[in-house]
Amino acid sequence: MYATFGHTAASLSNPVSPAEDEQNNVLNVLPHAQFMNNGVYEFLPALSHGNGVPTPTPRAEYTTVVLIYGAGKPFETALALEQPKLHGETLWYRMVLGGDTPCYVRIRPRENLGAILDERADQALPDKVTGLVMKMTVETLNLRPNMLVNVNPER
Amino acid sequence: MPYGPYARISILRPHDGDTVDFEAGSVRHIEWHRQAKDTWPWYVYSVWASTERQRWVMYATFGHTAASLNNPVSPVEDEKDNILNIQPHAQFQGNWVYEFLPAVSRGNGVPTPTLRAEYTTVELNAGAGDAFEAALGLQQLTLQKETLWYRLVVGGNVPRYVRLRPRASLAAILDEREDQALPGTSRGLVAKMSVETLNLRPNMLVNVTPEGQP
Repeated sequence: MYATFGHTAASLSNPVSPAEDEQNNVLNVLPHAQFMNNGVYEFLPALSHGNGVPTPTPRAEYTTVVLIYGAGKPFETALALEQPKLHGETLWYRMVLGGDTPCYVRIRPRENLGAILDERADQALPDKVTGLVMKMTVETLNLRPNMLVNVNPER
Repeated sequence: MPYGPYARISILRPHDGDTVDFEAGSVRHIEWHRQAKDTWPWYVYSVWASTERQRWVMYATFGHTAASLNNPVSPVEDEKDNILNIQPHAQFQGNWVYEFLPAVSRGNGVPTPTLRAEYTTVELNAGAGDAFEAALGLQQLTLQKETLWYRLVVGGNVPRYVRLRPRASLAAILDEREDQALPGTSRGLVAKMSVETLNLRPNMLVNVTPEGQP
């Protein structure tokens, strides 16, 4: 997973040397991998604990929530009510472009797998959203310290 | 209406690891259309933001009557060139004919060839087409910029609609994200909605001049 955070629309619209980037991609990445997904998400501060740019911890819990059509607003309202209870860094994003909507992602950067497992009780969504959710997936990510650009892994 | 209402849209998935040869074959096939004096406008887009179709390639032609869609240039030779240059490197994943819906759109059914476009697919519950179009029609007057709605006529499950919003940049698409939502009255009608973005391929167009270029 390649990701970049904290952008305005203008900055996302102006990547560095896109033609040369694509040439290099074709040379070095495409022969060895398949692109599976490319999305643009919007950070939701009213639902989150954190500033939308994840702390670059070695691990992160990555939750994808696909809702039934039209359920976005009540879902966000329910999460906002729970926001004061959040303790650790918890970042919610709404998908703007890139697939079926409504779709949300929650990132919880943590130091290690133990910390993620110790907080498993906090994985659950509020009871109020039960009827709104079509599918929820919880995965974990390992940061790749040797592949970061302008990001210093947290020690 | 100055144009016919029909659009043909098809999509290809390049074989994994075969991008370079697919790109080269596509350029050769597009050149075949030019050499054959094809009069149809051909738009070619790469899918950029997508869960299922990232980097797939979309060929589309717009503004047709039924008669013009029925008379493509040299179909036998076109197919021969297709087999030679495209099929070894890609898989055809869909081919659809859509009808432009002027009463719910802003624009003439032939998209401005901007560098980017938002591409929204809406699948409805069976029998919900008339009510959906009525809901869209009520908000037509509020549309500020080019917004083109098409109804699937042949090629897959119906009722299904596509909305195309051509824009100059990704920033323009993101700045209008609040306008993505469908009318509230369509809530019980929609089974699935997917929003993707397309990148125009200026070197693969036929009878289409990208906006901002001579």
